[in-house]
Amino acid sequence: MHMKTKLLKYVLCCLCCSCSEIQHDCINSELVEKRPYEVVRDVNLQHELLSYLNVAVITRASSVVTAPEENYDLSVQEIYCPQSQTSNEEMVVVRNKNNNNNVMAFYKENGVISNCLIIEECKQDFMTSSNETVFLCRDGDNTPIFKAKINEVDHTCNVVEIYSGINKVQSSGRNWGCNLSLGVCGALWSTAFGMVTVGAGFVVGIAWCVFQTWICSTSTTVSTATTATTATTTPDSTTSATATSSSEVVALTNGTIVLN
Amino acid sequence: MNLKVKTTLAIYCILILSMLTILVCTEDNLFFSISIAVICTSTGVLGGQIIKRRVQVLKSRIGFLIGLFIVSFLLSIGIHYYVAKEIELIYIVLTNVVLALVALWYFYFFKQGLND
Repeated sequence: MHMKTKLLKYVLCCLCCSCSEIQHDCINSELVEKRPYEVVRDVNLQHELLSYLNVAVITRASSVVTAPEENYDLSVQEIYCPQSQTSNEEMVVVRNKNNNNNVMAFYKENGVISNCLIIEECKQDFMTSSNETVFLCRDGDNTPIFKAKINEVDHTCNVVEIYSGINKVQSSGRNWGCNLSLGVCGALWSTAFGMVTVGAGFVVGIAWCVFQTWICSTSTTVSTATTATTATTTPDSTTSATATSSSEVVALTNGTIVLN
Repeated sequence: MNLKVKTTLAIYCILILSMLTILVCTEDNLFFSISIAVICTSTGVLGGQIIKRRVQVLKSRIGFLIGLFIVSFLLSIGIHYYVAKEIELIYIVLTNVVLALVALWYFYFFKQGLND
């Protein structure tokens, strides 16, 4: 009986200790600061990225990068520039296994990944000092999109410049101009041929569909939808130093860079 | 309204609704382009069949084709400029010219046309 009591006490003590540890961890996790830039190896985040890739990216025309989860190292995630302690936005970047300059950027809003952009040749151009790294991100056509500076001491990330390449990324996606203009054109001519016979209208319609699809889908370079929030551009390349401030945050949402 | 017309209209409605669904939901440029193209061309063919019975008198096939070419060209250019803020003349001109030539060939080779 005495032994049983001791054993029960021991078990209760263990339980209490473990509970207190969990509670302590929970309290600590609430107090963990959100750092503007950090490199993590989060397994849960890795699964989150993987599940997003499996359901979303494959349907996009940007799937020119075949099997992205095989080419990109999803186990190491770089989290860039949360806006503030209460930020709901952040960008998670993973790098290509073969080419460190090719990155895949995931935009998270309210803890949920909503968009992904593959940026090729996101070059680490030069080190401005021992503590700062400047990244110049270009798209697949080598057009510069933006330049960001990362301070590795205070873990801040600032957008220094945004180039005119951003317009290309923003205007890409659904090519409304081409599709609507050729669509109206096809509608008029199909009407004319349809007035002659249904067969002629049908043949012209099919030929037109193939032609329009070929013209308009190949004229888009980057496949992204455009549902960005606000976009602020600072195209002046001479004001790189003055454009830097701690409140500037870069986030990629459907191919659009958002400055907050 | 006979059964044939009803069936045609039903198929047309299904096609249009399907394409509109794709248009709204897809994130793929290929399917986006296909859906717009199918909507426009199928509406055009159906509209042509409806107009056919009402437009009985056309003075000149050539005049009709030239008029259609000009209207189509201007409309395409205008829409492209309005939406994309730029003008891409080459493919719009080429497509209209090709279609006008095909129409001419069709009318005169088959001796069949709008006034028949």
